[in-house]
Amino acid sequence: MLEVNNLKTYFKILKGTVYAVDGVTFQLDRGETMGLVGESGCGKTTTAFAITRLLPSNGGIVGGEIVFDGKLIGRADFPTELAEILKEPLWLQEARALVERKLRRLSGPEEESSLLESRRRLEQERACVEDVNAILNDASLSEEEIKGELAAVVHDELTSFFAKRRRRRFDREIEEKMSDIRWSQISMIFQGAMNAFNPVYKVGDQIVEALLEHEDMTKDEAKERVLELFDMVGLERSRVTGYPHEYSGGMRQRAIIAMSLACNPQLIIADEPTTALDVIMQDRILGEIRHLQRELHIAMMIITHDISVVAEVAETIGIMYAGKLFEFGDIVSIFEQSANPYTIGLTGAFPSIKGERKKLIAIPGSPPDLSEPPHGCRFHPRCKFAQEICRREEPVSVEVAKNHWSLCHFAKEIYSGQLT
Amino acid sequence: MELEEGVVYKVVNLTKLFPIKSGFFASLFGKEKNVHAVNDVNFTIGEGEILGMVGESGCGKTTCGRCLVRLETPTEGHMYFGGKDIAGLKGRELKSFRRDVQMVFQDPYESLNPRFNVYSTVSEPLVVHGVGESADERDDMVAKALEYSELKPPEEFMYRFPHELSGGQRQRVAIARTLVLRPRFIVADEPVSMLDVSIRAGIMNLMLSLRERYKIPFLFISHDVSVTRYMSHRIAVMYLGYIVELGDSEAVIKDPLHPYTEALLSAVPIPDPAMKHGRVKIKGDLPSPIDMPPGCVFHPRCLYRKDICDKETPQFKEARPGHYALCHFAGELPIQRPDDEEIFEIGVCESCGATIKKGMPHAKCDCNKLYHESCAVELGECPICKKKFQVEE
Repeated sequence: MLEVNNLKTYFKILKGTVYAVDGVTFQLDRGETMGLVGESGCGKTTTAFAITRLLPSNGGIVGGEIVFDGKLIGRADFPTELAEILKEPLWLQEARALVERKLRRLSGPEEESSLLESRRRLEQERACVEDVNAILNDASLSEEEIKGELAAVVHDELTSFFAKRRRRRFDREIEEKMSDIRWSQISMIFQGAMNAFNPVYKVGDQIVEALLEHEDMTKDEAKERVLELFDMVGLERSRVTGYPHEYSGGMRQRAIIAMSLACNPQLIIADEPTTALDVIMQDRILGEIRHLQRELHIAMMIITHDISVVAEVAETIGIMYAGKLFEFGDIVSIFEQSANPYTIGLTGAFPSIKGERKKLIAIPGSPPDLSEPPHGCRFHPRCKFAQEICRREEPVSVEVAKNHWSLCHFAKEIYSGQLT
Repeated sequence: MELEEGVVYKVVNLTKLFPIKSGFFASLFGKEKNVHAVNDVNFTIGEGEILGMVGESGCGKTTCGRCLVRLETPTEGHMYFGGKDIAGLKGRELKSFRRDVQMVFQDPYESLNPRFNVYSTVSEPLVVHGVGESADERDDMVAKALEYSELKPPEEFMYRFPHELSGGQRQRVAIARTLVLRPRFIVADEPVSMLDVSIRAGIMNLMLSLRERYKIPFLFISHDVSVTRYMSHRIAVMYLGYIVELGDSEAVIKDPLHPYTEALLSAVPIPDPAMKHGRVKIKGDLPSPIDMPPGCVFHPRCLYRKDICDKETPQFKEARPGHYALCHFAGELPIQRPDDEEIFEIGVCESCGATIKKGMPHAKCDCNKLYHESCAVELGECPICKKKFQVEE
């Protein structure tokens, strides 16, 4: 249902560019729970924001696609993607592949309905792609000249006054369509959601407001729906008229969950849903989430730094490090037989109350600065298996077993136990 | 008072109340109200021992830790350390006591002064207590402290500012600051809860190796049971200002005595998807520490509650050798251990929310809801589909 393909999201800052999410690929099926785990600053929240198109103004999708329910809800526009490709060593092949892909996509008739963008924008883009295609296929130009021409096109498209204005107008159009999808189809529970309620409005009224905004219902119907939602998440009905400060932390979290369920979404993205809660409350909320999800058949993406929370609720897990998805797949398979040194390090550093008390092994060093990520594999400075190739070449994702991908040069060796 | 052999710190009936400010009229007519942060707590810390203290937020574990280093003055009780009762110390005596005890705080992003470089942060305690004859001697001490906390080489870190350090390095600086005075006792208040997983293990191993090498006793405060188990020799479980259970960490984790510990352990997520465990055995929310429940503090939420529980305050008794619990029925309750692996969850009881396991008598109705035996008997029939319950295995 949700497909994220080679998503790249960068932020522009004074010092340069932060490569926050760099080539993340995963799928999420209907009714499935996925956990996205990683340390702080590894790009897991940015991934969620890219899916819901809530990125701050200095950030943007520069590559890849996000497909939700057959609709392309997020993608980089062609000039931006081309500009990024031009920076890479293998730019010619990649540019050719990109143009081919774009031409195929833009010519299909189903395209228009699956895009959120207007016909005019697509026409603009098609013209641009065709220009670029002509340049690429011009046999009289040398490689250097092609690059120069392409850079000129990109520069023109990205920086000229009219192009900028056009882009802003198109963005507003998308924003309008996107706000229909948000909440009614994809809802999000934000980090520190306990403080997400407005303190001067009653909790019930805030949920009613959300319902009226997105659903075609009267105020009385909305109020009735709020009561239903409160029953669903295990809150007393009398609490509807309460203010947020009258709620305990766990109750606020439940109310937030009720709010996210309000419009019957198909996907809930929960960003650290239980981090600020105590263990007992956390366990209850997780139980609640699991129960609701089974009952309503909602897909869910749980973003957390706590691998044990994911182990409790999720069916698939994605492990992120430094903007890349290092391992992805079936949770039992990954826990039992990991094929990635970072995952092994992470699980080895986690204490448990079960079983023998074993010595924890810390991963040496600390996560890299994402504005200057290390060359080659981003984990190599901290990896105990690191070899020459890891410093030089970026690994590609390998499918070591069914539904189990790992981003490592030695994924197969680690998976089969040859490298320990 | 002389302490027993091998005991470094002894706490007797420690109580800390925080008065609540009320209005003028209320103060004339109403009863004065207090927040009962720490209630009648007794424990000892042995030489080179790490005592873990766990509990939910608001259970008084931090206040207890702050009392131990005298950042708070206890309302009642005695604390014996180095042959003196610390509870009432003042002035110069208090200052010299503080030389011997140190504290590591939770958030290394806030506990370090952003305008002090590492050298001035770590040497500050030396200046305050007038330790070290010359600047050279102090330099030496600072360098050693940094080396102990594995910031090597020390010269490289000495003149950096906190913003140039990562979270883990900051916490190491905070630890170096406590070590520079060669303390005889350290309180570590959630020292790893702000750190990332991959760095956390490093800090925990550092603290364990310090204890190993210098035999410094620690009070390790944390909300995370798994972390506390890894760190400590003994664990004290706090609930609403009381220590409800105290014993060897493996004994407390593997074979708990108190129903609260049972509930707490069952709520801890296990980092292994193949292991399923029981649901929380606790109801309701944490009561307010202002109006404490009468009798046993845990009785309103306890699943094993009997008549005596809301009337009499239980004794903190030694139910097994070295293993104490604050419960009338300590050692007599059918408490489930986390390592009991025969749990196969069938579902959750619709009425009380408890887990129904394989082999447990339960009833099923036509609308596919499950009820466990006692709830089924109590209800008689399903409130939705009105089917008469028949209890099956």
